[in-house]
Amino acid sequence: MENVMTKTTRRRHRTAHSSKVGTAGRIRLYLLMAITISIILTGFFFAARQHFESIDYSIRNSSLRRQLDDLENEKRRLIAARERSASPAEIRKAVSRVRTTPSINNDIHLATDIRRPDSDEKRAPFIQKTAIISPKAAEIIPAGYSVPQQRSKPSDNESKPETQPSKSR
Amino acid sequence: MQVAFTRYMFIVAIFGLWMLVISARLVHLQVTQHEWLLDKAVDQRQDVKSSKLLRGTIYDRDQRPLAISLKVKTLYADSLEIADVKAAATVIAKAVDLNVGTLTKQLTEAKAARKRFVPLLQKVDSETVQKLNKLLETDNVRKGDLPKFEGLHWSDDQTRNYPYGSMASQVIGFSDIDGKGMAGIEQSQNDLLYGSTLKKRQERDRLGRIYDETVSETTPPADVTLTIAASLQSKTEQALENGVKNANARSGVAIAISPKTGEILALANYPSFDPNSVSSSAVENIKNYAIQSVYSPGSVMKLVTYSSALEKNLFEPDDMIDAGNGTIEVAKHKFSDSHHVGAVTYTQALAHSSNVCAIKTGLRVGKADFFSTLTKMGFGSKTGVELPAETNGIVRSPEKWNGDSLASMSIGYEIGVTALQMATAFATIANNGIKVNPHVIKQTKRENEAAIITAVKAGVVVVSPDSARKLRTMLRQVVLTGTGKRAQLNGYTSAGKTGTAWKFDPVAKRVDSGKYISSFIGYAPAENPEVVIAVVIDEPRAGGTDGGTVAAPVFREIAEQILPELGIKPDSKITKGSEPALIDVPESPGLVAEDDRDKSERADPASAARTPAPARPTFNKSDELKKKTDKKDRPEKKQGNDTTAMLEVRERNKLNARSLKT
Repeated sequence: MENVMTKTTRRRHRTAHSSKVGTAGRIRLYLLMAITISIILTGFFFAARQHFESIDYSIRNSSLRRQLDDLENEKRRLIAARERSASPAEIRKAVSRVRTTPSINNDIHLATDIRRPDSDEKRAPFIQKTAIISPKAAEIIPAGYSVPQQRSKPSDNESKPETQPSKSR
Repeated sequence: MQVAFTRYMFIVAIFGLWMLVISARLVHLQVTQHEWLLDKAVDQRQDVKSSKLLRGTIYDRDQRPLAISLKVKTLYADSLEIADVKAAATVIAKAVDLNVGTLTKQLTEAKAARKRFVPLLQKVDSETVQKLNKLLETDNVRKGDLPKFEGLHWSDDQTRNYPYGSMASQVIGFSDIDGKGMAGIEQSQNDLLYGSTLKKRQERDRLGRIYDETVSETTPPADVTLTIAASLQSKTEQALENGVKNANARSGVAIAISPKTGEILALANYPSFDPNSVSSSAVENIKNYAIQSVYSPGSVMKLVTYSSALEKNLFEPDDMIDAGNGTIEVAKHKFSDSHHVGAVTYTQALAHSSNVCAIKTGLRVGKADFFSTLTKMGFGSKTGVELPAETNGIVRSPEKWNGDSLASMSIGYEIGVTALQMATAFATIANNGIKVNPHVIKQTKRENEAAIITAVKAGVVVVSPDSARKLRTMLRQVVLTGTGKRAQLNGYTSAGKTGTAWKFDPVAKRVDSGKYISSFIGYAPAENPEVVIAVVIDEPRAGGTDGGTVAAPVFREIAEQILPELGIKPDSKITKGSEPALIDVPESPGLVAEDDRDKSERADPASAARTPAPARPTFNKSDELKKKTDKKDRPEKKQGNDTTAMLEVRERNKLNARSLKT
């Protein structure tokens, strides 16, 4: 009987004590769990973001690489077109086309057909002067352009200079 | 309590069973079907794309691209991806401008045969690709690649482009549809130029976008830079074309070479072909006659005759030699001069291209020494130029020579040479007797690697510098006073030798006296040669047939254009409006025609019949001089040279036929 009572008393005591201790501990435990889980979740979030960002960069990288290939190819195509147009055969074709084009003759006629104003009439000046109020306003403002320096001799790696005109008869 | 516990355990059991089933499924998927699922995932995500690297570019010496490959695309249909063939064919045909019926039939047949590659358009450039992508774009189609049309894809391809057309086409060559070189540099340097296959392992997302790419390592193709300059080549070709057309000739070859380095600055053939459209070109125009065609050089071979004699100190340029009545008989074979020269200096003999004097000189040299000089100069063997199918030429060994072979060879018969071999021989004399092998490749370069420059091999001494110098003074007189007057340049000094030979007819197997090979090979400036130019005209038919009339003007036109471009200062007076010099008497082939043999025995040489013989060169025919010339002749008789010792009776035509056959 004493034992039973003691047990009961002990249990009652323990329950009362442990209930006080349990609540605080549980709160601490839950708090700790919450913090841990939030840290883990944050970590997952950043990892996922990094992963998808890297995929995104890779996609952009490959599309840029493709763009680079396309530009390289375009450059080659333009080089080929430039060389083709500068080739002697094309130049000769262009010259023969210009010579056979009748419009040139018409242009010449048009040029000679310009009517000259009569001497009695007041002739409008060719050059229209801008409204200059005073001589000061006509001051020339330098455009920052300087006479180009004399070209130095090309090195071996550079392309040869333009050909001198033939001195044939 | 008991009931609650039982219910609790029942729910636990259900959960447990559920977890068990899921776990079993997971184990089955991840362990048992691991390999299969992995392959499927990789297959969905990864793609191995094979593409060919662009073939290497061929540049001229100024880095102008002469042959360049461009990326193009081929539009193809995957018939298994097309659900409605008729509808798809209608849209595709409209965009691509194809016949609807034909396309429908083609796609239907392909679908039945389960073909996944049906090419629709080939060699499409980027501009057209973009236009077609826009035309074929369909709204509700989700695809990773373009065009956004079900079942249509682009595959990479390349096309070879020759921007300069027919310029230097025999040198550059061309490549076939598989990117394999078939002629010229394209063929000989195919291993360097060939674009190997590149494998790219690509990782794609669910929309087919590439997010990772691994490229397998492969050796990139190399670019080849030639020694040829586009501008010089163009001028040479133009001058050659003018020359061939003016002479109404069959074809022509012109070569410009630097004697000091052996660099070929220009190599022209006319007529030529356009490598952009090889199928429409005549087959004979594709051949590079400069190295693949053999011809009898005629009088230009006197270079070897006189150089070997000078090397043996048999004469000095101002020593006298007597051409007699203008004919000489060796082994019952008659050789003649185009006109009487009488007793002249060796220099004058070469200037007026006296065959008799050359034969006398050749006989004095002897078989062994003549053959030695021939082989040292490079005749009978390849020059080693980096072009395919070069021929050795035809030079028989002395054991196979006939009684008059040495005499024939002294004036350029019984021997077959290429134009490049002749140019190299003249380059040797221009380079003080040192032979430098001609080459056409300047350097090769791979991407991200240093350029490999073609090393100029050390030259071989063929004749002494003194002999070369003496011969150069003699060659100068050819241009000043001899048969090569039309090679005189405005502003520059030049020297060289004309050549006029009858052409061998392979059908009749005899020399055809109606057909000629006319040539002029020279160099400029005369004192310090910077360029050697060889011009060979095949079968001139109008305005003359000799080298001085037909080929020398071409030499002049080429030299006057390229010398200023090479930066060579004029070393002579520049005169405006100078007319081409007149040649006193044109050169003749030197052999007496069969039907003219009687004439030649009676009177003047037959070949001088057309033009009046000029006045003989005036000199003092004193007794002293006669004695001097006699003295010169005596050693010849005393030596009793080898060829006269081995006399054989044969007809001229059989002799030539046999010699050219071998």
